[in-house]
Amino acid sequence: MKKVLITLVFITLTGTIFAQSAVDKIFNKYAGKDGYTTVVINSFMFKFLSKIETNDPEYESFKNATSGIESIRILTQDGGNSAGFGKELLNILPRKEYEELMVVKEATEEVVFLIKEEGGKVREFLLIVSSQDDDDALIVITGNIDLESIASLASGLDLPGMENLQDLE
Amino acid sequence: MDKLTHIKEILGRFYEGSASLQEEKELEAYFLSEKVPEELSADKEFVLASAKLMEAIEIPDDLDAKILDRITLAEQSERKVRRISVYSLSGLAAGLLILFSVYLGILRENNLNSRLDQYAIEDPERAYQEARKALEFVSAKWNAGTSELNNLQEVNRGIESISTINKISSGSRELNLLGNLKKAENITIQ
Amino acid sequence: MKSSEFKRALLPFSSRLYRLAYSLLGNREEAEDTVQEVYLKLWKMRKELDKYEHPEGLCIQMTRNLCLDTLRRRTKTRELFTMKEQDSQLELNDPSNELLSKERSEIMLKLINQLGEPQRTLVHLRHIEGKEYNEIENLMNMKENAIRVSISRARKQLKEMLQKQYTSWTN
Repeated sequence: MKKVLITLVFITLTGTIFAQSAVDKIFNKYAGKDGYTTVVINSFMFKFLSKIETNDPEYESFKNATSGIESIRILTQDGGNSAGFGKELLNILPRKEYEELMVVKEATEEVVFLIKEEGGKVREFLLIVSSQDDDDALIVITGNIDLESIASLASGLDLPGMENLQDLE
Repeated sequence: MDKLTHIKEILGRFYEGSASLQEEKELEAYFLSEKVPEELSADKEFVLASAKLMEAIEIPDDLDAKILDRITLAEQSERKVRRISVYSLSGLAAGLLILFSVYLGILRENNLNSRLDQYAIEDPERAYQEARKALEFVSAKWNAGTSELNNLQEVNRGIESISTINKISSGSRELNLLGNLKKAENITIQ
Repeated sequence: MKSSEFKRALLPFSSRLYRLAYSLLGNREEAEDTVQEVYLKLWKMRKELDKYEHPEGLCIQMTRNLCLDTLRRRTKTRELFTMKEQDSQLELNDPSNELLSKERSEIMLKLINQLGEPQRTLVHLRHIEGKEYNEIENLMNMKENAIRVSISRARKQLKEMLQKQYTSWTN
């Protein structure tokens, strides 16, 4: 009896250790699905990119912003919002696991910024876009994230916003 | 038949696409060496311009090197995906069960990651572009959002609400995200 | 096919694939990128490559397809043919002088680049790679008759274009 109990406890424990996070579940569900675009840049690539030396100031600013980043994963729903991908994201992603950094609600679009903090650093960053006119999107950044550097990447640029995402393959 | 007639005959077939490679070489030789009558000067220009085209395209010295680099990058990326889990089995049934569930857990993690790895970008240039685009998008959305805080008067924009913005703090240090956040603290609309 | 075998068997094609890409795209940068892409794609399917008796055909087809994709994506405002600065040196006052054969070749490459498909690829395979018609048949999946007709049309076109180029200089 005792052995069974111990076994059960251990199994549960290992189950939780290897449990998929909500974000992983989303990617598992939608990656490669028709009508959705998946982009993954993994840690191996970021290490590689960080080693490249150039004279290009733009690339330097990029290296700055991404110095701690381990991975970027992007899911976009192509062509419109009929399936309510964005809404599902907003419902599924457990807001209580994350800290809400900012929410911007407009008539046709809701944008949510979530972060997970660990030891004073931002370890995970989520951007959820739920839009009526444009594509819904989820961007997940993991690593030691430097939000200020990232935020300054687009300052001064007049980016129309969603059109950029549509170019993301 | 004389040379000129012969050449004209080949030329005729040349423009019909039915001259052989040999005959095409003959034309080239003719136009290079002999004085050509006026009526054939346009043909001379064309035939000579079409000759030796292969040499005219310069192959970059580092072409093969770059190709091999790309392949090597892909090789390394592939190797990273193959994770080898090594376990030892204990005698106890309980031990076996634990290890079995650990195995399943690792397998699942492998599956998820290797499933996603197929979408991982392998071209550094493209990775840079996509990463940059993504970050600029994030940045743009963020800046757009924080700038909204300054334009609260524009009710026509249909802005319904802006939720509270939490300061990120850990211990004594406060992460200050752009000066705008300071303003945001003062504008808290529920 | 193993990785080492892959490199041994397919790398020798790199020059001819580059030339094809250059003919179709008109510039070195894109040609290089395309050839690299092709090899990456081929490498990813290296396990299936053993069943191909003539991998060269596959390589050429892939290169061509990738180039056509790139061309389709180009916006209309971009230059169709961006050549190195030597272009400006082609402003000759008197074309009846002996043109250096190199310049002649460059003009011809530019003109070939402006042809439509499949003439352009066919002219490339015949004039630049020196392929026999039966080889071209296999590479392009076209009957010899069709190839002949296409090349005939292309040659007449090119001759005309060349003349136009010359007369525009004398004006």
